[in-house]
Amino acid sequence: MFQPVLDILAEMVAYDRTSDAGSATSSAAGVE
Amino acid sequence: MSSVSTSTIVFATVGTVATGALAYAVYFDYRRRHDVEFRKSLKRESKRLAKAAKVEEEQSGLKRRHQARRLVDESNEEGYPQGMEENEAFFMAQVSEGEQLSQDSMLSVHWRALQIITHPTGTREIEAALCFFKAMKVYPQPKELMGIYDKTVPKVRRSIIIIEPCLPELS
Repeated sequence: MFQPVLDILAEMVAYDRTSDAGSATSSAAGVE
Repeated sequence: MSSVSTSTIVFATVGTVATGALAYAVYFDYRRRHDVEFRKSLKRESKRLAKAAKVEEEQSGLKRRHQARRLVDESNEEGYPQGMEENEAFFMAQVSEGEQLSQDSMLSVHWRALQIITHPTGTREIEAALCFFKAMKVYPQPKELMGIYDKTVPKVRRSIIIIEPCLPELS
């Protein structure tokens, strides 16, 4: 792999985690 | 009436242009050395260009981030295969494609440095990262996979080359 690709991937993973956490919180709270 | 040959015209033109360029270089250097205002204006121009380059870089980074996030959302909406065999095949395909795109992006960076490449900066990098991301989504231990990805990145080693002076031995 190439460093810029790894940097973007790390950003994607971080975003995915936050969006997962967000949707989990919304589901727990019963928010659509 | 004698006709002037083409080669004479070419030589005369090249000579005139070269003399003009040389004269301008000498004039420019003279002003740089002796004119304080000129030096200051050169410095200001240099700072302005550096600032503009920084702003452009920041905007490009922001654009790339938005694009990466949009692709993550799209990929999650599309979903991932569920069965074990399908997962394995999907994983292999994504990693293989990611590797190919990553290599292409590495080459394009080199070409870009030579101002030859024409496609937008970072397109291949994002596509490659998306493939690795998709592969990670179906891998049982994503954290471990991130570590593996990290190990595949060639680390740049800064080595100091010591050149010993070849002094003649004194007898």
